[in-house]
Amino acid sequence: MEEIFGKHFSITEPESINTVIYKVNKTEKEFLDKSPKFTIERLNYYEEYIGRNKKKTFFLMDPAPEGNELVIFSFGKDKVVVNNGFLETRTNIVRVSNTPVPMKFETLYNENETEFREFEYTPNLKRPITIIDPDTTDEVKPRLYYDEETKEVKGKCTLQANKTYVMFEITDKKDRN
Amino acid sequence: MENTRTTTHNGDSNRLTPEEAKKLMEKTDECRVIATKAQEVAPVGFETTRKDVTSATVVPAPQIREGIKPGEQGDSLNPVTAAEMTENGVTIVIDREVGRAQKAKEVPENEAQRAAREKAELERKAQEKYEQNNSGKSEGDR
Repeated sequence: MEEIFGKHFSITEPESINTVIYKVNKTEKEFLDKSPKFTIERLNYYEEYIGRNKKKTFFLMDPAPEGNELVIFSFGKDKVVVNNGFLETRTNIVRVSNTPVPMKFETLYNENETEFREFEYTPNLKRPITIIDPDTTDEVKPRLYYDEETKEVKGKCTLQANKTYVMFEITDKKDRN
Repeated sequence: MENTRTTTHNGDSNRLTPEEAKKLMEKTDECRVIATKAQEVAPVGFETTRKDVTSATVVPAPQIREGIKPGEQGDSLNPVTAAEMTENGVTIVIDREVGRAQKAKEVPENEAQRAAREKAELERKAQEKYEQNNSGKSEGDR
């Protein structure tokens, strides 16, 4: 029999909404000295239109036997709705909170002239922060370069001025208390 | 195990083609999606993470000068809203002075900015004066 190595689940979203989902992986103890406690992985998806709505099917590969936490972002015109989820590997159930929270953008669509600016942003491998462009829902990745003056590898990030970006990071609750 | 890597489509590396999706659907288990109370999303004792989400805007310095690094021009990152996701659900951070929703420190005006601001002020005053004189003249001409 062929090995089953993943899960899939579907959601329906209105035409103007774009949902992206991340799987949270817990780093194994032996890699903790060089890696963050949690890493994220954006889920692959397939979408098809059903009337004016989209049916989006997400694929989660290599689920942890004890299950995987999910972080869900639904991007709309001027807000993003953030939500928690959990995939139960054993029962094939995805639980999603029924109380998501909308975060409003104040300046997503700005009539003023804007410009792209370069920002120093050297990623901290022990504390990764994800930046998402809400227009495209793409991640904004830093470009690495070698700084001749300081002899260090640094990062640069191009962001549009006066535009709102969404950022998130996953931490251990114990580290914040 | 079979390779699960997928190709890029329309610039979105996470979007699958119908063929890829069909293949994966056949090989993966289908899960039901259930909306539930925030506290019941994860099994008890499992939830150990905290997710901090912030939406923020880059506020540029008033004047851009060649050769001056952005940090020195006074650009700042201004948080718009922030949320925390824990086992109790998602909450919007009200007190921005707490935690990572903290507002970026304001960078004091540097010399280049001061010069630019003063120049802009001067130009504005000159323009106002010109308009005043001009409007008076045209009224008198009538």
